[in-house]
Amino acid sequence: MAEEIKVEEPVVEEVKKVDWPYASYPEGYNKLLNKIMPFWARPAKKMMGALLIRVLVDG
Amino acid sequence: MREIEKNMKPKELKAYRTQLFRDAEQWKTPDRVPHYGNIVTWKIFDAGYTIDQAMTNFDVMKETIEVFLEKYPIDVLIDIGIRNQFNITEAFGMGDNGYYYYDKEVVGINDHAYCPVDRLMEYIEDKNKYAWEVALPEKIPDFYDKPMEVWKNTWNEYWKYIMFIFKMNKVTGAYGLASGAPNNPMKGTINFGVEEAESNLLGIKNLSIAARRNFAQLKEFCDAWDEKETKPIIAKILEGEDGPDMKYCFDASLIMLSQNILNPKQFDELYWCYLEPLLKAYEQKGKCPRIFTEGKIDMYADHFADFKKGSLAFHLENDDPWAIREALPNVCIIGGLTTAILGNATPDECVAYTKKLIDELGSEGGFILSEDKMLSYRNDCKAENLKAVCEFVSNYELKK
Repeated sequence: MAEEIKVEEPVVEEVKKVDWPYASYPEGYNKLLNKIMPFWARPAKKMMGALLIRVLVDG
Repeated sequence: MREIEKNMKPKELKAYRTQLFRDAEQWKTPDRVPHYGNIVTWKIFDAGYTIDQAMTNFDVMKETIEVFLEKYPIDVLIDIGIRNQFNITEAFGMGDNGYYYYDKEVVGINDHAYCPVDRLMEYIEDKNKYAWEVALPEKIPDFYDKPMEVWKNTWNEYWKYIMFIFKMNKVTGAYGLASGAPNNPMKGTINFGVEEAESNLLGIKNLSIAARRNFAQLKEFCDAWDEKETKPIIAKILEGEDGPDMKYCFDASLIMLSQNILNPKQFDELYWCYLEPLLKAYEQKGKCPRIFTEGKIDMYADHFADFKKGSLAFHLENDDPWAIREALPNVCIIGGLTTAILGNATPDECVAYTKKLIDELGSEGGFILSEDKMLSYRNDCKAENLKAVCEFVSNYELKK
């Protein structure tokens, strides 16, 4: 019989519920983008905001 | 470079190079074999810099690319200096929590996994929501404590990076460099659920385990990914125009890696059942995607045997190109040059090997020269070897 390989399961802690006003998606996230994006860039908010999330996750 | 190409204006040269790729893919004898430069951070060393000097300084990176293109008459470059720019993550104070890390000699990837298998469906339900509410706070311990000033600086660096991408497209355009492939019709990279699970969500180890212990959950995720991500791409392809898009050398770019850790049954049920319809759509429309078959693909060669000539191009990594040609005489091969040869042989030996590749695999089309590994480290290649190969392939005309 093949030996059972013991593998540690990934430990994922529940995300802390915080009072950070931007913690929710999409509401809080959009509020944050409005704070950091210049006015002229906001028409591209959906695309550029999604890319920024990707850069932070994958970068 | 041949005189005829030297005398072309950049736009003309770009179109000519694109045609060379399209001819090779379609198994028409091109004027000469095109060279797809699978060259990444090695360029930095060759220009006299170290990784840390170039990765966070756009001026240095731009100079690196210009020095490279002045020295080597290559037809396509996989990286035009816009990968792995760290200014954004450093502005955000990512520290050791980043996906990538770098020092003077290396850009590497930190081990990471964003998602346990029982949350995969939550991820696919809304990827951005999962990233924002779960992945980022877990990845970055002080995510909720970042001052607004940090967010603004991060945005500014992000914007500079976008501008740098535009600038580098202009810089490489001046050298007549051809464009590899468009983004997929839905924008972004074409990816599959199992590849996303391997590269980001679960990681190699946890995907291997999940494929045995949690197969049903993994399958449910891959099905959901197919519905949400792949099927809309297929619909767009089928709605679009027939034939190759001549703005690019290939009609799509895909990366396959997870076949290396799946057994045949897992490959069929978690990968091939989604990949095949996409490839058939490209075939039906007379288009040719480039698939970077990382690791090896020979164990699944039979899956690709029935595709029409001209509808598939495999960029090989560890496979023997002669063995793939025998197994898949319908598939255009990209590759042939190894880092072992480029890093250790003499220029004459490199040229003799390149000539053998072209004469035996590419004299009637179906072959594009490239490096097997992304040239990344200092010793992956000797400059005089790459110079000799580039000079040879850019001058070696094929008999029609």
